[in-house]
Amino acid sequence: MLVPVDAAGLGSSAARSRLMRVTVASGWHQLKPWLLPLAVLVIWEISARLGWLPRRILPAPSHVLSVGWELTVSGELPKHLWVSFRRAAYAMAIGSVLGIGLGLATGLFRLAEQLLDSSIQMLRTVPSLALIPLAILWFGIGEECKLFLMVVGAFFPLYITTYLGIRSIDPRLIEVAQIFGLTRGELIRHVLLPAALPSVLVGVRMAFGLMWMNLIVVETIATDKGIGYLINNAREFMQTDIIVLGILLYALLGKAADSTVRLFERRFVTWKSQFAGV
Amino acid sequence: MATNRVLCRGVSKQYGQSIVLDGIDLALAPGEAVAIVGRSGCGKSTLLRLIAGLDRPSAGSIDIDGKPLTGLNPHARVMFQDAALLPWKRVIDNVALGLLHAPAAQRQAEAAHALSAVGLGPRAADWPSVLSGGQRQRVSLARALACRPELLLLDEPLGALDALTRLDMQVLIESLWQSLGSALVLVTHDVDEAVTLANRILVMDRGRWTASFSVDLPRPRDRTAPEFTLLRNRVLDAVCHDPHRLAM
Ligand SMILES: Nc1ncnc2c1ncn2[C@@H]1O[C@H](COP(=O)(O)OP(=O)(O)OP(=O)(O)O)[C@@H](O)[C@H]1O
Ligand SMILES: [Mg+2]
Repeated sequence: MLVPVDAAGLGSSAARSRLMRVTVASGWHQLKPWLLPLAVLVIWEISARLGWLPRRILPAPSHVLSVGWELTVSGELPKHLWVSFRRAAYAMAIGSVLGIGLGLATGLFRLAEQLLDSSIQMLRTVPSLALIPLAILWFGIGEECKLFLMVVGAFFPLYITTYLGIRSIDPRLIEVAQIFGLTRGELIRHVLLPAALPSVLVGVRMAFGLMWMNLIVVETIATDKGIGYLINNAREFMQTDIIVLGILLYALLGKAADSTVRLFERRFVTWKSQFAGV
Repeated sequence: MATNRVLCRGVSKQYGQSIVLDGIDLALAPGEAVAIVGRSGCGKSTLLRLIAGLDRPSAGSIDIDGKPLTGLNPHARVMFQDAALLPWKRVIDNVALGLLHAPAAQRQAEAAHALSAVGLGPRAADWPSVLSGGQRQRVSLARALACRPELLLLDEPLGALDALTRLDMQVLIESLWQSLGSALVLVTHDVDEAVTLANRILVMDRGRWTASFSVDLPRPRDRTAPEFTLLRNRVLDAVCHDPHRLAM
């Protein structure tokens, strides 16, 4: 009968040599994003050592590092880090459940959309930090109030990207699902959810950003734990080194969160070929 | 004779002010293969969508197996003009889409079989985005064929293929159509293809039938036979004969 028309696979030896080239190139590739931060660190260190930067304005990275080390050994830093991390984790978890959950509801069901979407879109435009006084009145100045504000930060990007992810799917693909006899549940599982995933992941990254910002702010109100507290406290004693340390930690934690999401993206959105820049 | 698999009576479709289909009649017996040819934009895909139940006619009626069509046509499988593969499913899972309700083992086996029949067995684990246009079309064809439908609606299934692969795919479609006994509606721009595969060729222009040919040549059809050439030329004449051509 029929001969396979496209039997030619990858030539194996050619594939292998290409693989080698890829590994060498990818080392350089992974290095490139770090070049700029490294250069900044080096210049910063040199300027501090030469006395161009007064220690009160900006201490040398090596000094910041040694302060960080002291605080780590004393157990002070891990304690604050853990508290901040736990707050972030709770806020992200609750924000994701609410944001993605409601986004799915309004994206999938017209009734939910009609009932909820315009109200949510209206609330979205309120800057979440404007809610601080209200949150304090509602929840007091304890953890609940902080969590509330961080959840608000995470909620909206997740809600919007989930909703949009589902609504922007190519209607032809839904027709395909119908033609091939998929039930409603199967349509959601095999078509709508995978279609929305890339958009949802963008939302997760944006949610991290906003949640993080709110974390920094709420950790300056009435608390004695967390990196925000550490920074705020250091300000009162003019400990620039600790302030810089806190800021660097925020940057690193933010980067770690972002990398985690990217990892997830690479793992689950492999089907999407992306424009990689010219 | 058994009831018609598809019976369209006076089917019209209007989008806003423009009339896309204008009083189409079509009777399709079980096991019959009809080819529709016509200029781009004359309404061929629209008619297929109506028969598949993806759209409602503005006027007229469509019966499937003697019953009026309301909602989706459960017996029809469509191969869309643009392959319309799900980008997040690997090639093999795209082919298995219509077999979701079959047991897993059978699903895998039938999808793999259909895929190798279109010559893409080795690409089973690839993403659709890395396939060529013609390969995507063949995956889409495999997806439509895999579920052994009673009514196959193929919308320019081989448009992006080279001449040689196209011949292979025509053999495949013909053999599957014969073994399944399904009714087939084939939209094509290739008159040779229409004469090779169809029992009947309908020519459409601006939403109406302008000619109809029955093809009584023995199968498999010999493209070099004088009867074949004669019929092809007549169909070509009918397609090209267009009183409004200059006005367009
Ligand atoms: N949803 C729609 N809304 C408005 N106009 C439409 C719609 N669908 C189709 N049309 C119009 O109907 C006409 C026929 O379209 P159709 O897709 O059926 O053409 P076709 O015969 O399949 O052409 P081709 O050979 O190029 O695929 C076109 O002019 C098109 O613009
Ligand atoms: Mg068309």
